[in-house]
Amino acid sequence: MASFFKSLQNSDILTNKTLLHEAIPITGALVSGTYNRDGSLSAELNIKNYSHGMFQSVYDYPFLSSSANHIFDITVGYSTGSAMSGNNASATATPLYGENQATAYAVTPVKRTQQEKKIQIYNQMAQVLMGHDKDGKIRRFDRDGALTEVHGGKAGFIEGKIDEAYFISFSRLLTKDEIKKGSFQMELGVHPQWSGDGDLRIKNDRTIILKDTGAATNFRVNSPAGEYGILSASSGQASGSVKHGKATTLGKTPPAQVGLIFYQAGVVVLDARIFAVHRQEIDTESDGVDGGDGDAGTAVSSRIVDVGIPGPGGAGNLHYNLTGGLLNSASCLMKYNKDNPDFENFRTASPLYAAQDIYAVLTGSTIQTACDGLRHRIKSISFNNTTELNSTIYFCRANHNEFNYSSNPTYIQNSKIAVKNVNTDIPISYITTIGLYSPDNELMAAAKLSEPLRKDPTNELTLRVRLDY
Amino acid sequence: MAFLDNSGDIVLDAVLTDTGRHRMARGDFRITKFALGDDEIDYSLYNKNHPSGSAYYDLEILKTPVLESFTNNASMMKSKLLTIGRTDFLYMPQSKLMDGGSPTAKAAGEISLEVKATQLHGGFRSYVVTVDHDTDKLVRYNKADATSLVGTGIILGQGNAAVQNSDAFAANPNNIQVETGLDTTDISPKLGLAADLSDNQFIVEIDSRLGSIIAFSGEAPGTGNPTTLPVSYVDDDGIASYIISGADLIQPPIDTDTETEQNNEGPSQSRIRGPRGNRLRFTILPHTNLRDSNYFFTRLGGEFAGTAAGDLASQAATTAGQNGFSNADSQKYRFIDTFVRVIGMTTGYTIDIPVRYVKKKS
Repeated sequence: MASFFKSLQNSDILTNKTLLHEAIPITGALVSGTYNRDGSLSAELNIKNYSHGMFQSVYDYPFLSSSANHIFDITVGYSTGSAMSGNNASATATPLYGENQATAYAVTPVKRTQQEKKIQIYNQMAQVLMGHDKDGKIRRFDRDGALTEVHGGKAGFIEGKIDEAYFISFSRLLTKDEIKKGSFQMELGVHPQWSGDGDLRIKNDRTIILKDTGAATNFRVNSPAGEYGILSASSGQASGSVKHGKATTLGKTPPAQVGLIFYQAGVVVLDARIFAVHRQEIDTESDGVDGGDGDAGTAVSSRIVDVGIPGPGGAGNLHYNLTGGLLNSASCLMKYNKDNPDFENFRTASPLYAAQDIYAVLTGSTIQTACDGLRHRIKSISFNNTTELNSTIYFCRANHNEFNYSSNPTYIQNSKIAVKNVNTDIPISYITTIGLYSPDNELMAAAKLSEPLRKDPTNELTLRVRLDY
Repeated sequence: MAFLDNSGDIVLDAVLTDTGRHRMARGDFRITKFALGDDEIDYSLYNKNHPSGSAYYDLEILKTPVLESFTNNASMMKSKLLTIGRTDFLYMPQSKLMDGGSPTAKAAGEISLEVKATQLHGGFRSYVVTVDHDTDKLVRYNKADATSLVGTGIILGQGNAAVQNSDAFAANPNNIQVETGLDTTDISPKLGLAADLSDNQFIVEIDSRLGSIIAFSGEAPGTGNPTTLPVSYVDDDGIASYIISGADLIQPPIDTDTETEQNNEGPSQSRIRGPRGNRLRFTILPHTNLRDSNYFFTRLGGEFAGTAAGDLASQAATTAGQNGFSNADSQKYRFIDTFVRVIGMTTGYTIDIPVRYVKKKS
């Protein structure tokens, strides 16, 4: 009896899982500069801003074109626990800024633009990425992923949380199933003379590089959104961009903990403090203890806010350190809102922060403007993505006495088999296609060979068809 | 679809078909069997007389470029490779449309009405199925012979109406028949077809939006209560497949008992010149949607003008060049051209039968 179907046995079907990686390089020129209309930064055709103003989308081509692919979104936010929010103001509702604990200053009320949206963004991201604590409260992003609040070496100082953050959410087109651990790298321009709008092409010699170094074997699993790693920073093209070499030192941003990267979610959380100038020293060595950076007792330039809530152990109010950044420069110019107010010491009217300081940008500028500020500093981003391929392999075995004839209309000429001269000649057929069928003979999948394969009674073939899901 | 790169190693390019994806979404995706195909191969390139020897016989075939996979399930695996245990035969059965029978028998005037009724429409070269009574009434026939509809290739989908046409067809004899066998003069038709090469079952595929397959009873498909056949499955493109094995559709060869009898030879009516296998006979019931709506006609079809001149009541025989539809009042007709595919379950041999659905344009 002639037949053209062959049943697959259990031993002919194999399922397995393979991880596939692709390198994803994103150049800074693509993120800002390449698609500017008439060279103007005010008309970046591949940047999509929304009327709601809650985030900004970056495309690899002018987004109105159907050829454009979505690359990532940027947004910014801060927590209700951040000094930026003003929620932690003292009883007079006036945050106190000062050189150190001993001298606190009242500052002029700060203009806060889109505050609700910034807090909403932070909470949304934190809720999804960090989850809730035992009381149902949203967990804040944590620098080292330990989720415990670390109080500084001095009473009243709270450390260890990321309360102001940039969020970069990569498109699934790029990340696929997840970002490969240990492969992420982002280079940011941090030159102090960067133009207000940020222009990578003018000053690109001072950069910092953020990486998830060692994350292939060292990552956290206490997030409801999957695994995440800790980003660390190092100086890029010129040495000295990063000031600090110390970790977990009071009032400083340890270079080993500048952000988080959530691999399955494809989200990078950048601690905004990395754009602040490093905190030189708050310790006057009056207590004989070095503050940690080895230059104890030098001039101080830190800004501390009394957050108005009790500190641990009842040792006075908590203090929130607004500086403690990474950068070895007096200023880190960001694109900013021209109306941003300077933070001023009302007694002396001397500015504690310039209008373009990262903290002023976070409070006084819109999310869009703050995102522009970061985006224009992106020199490059690269990572490997991971695609989890679940495969079923069908071993289609054609034995010597199978599939040697064809129902092709050209196979017979006047009913005579075209490849035979006499009836003792062996039949020959040529395989170009493998069809996989359901029990009711519907074609479920098809595979094509790149060239015809001869089949006759003198040979046997096993064709391995892999379907990936 | 592009060609696959055949400059290096042999690779496989595999895709899920649209039906496969549909099944996956539905949750009943399951693969239990496979078949091998050779759609691109032209076996006439096999040169058994190549001067350089047998190693060069299939040189041209092996150089055939292969297309990428289609995702449309209906576009692939049209010719499948066959497993037949024997290797000692030189001829393989094929399927042929009967289409009015053997030209030799026609010329000799030895065509029976049954065979004549299988003829394709002369002008359209397809089977023409009318979809409503209004169209049936405009089909020309010979009044003197109530069966003169025979051989016009027109299947009255709803049946004739005596009142308007002044005469009713006693029957609607036209139908579609597919013969199987060895179409060669090298082997006597009196020899039987090997049992292991004989098609005893057929798969018939038809666009279910337009019509369905029914057994031929001698009546117009839409008259009375036509016996519909169970559909095996309908794919995502609306193509219905019928697996047919019943004796009312599969019959023995047309002239086994006459032309092949010893001392009773005449020109065979069959188009199969050698040993003959079974014969598939069926007709088409047009879908109600075609009768009641012009939707598919405007989307998928076109128009033609009737060319059969004269008063229908005068009933002159349809003459050459006329399409059999009245041209009174410059009558126009809508049509949809499609095809019905018949596949032999044993041989896998496939033929596509052209079908035209016709409706009077009001």
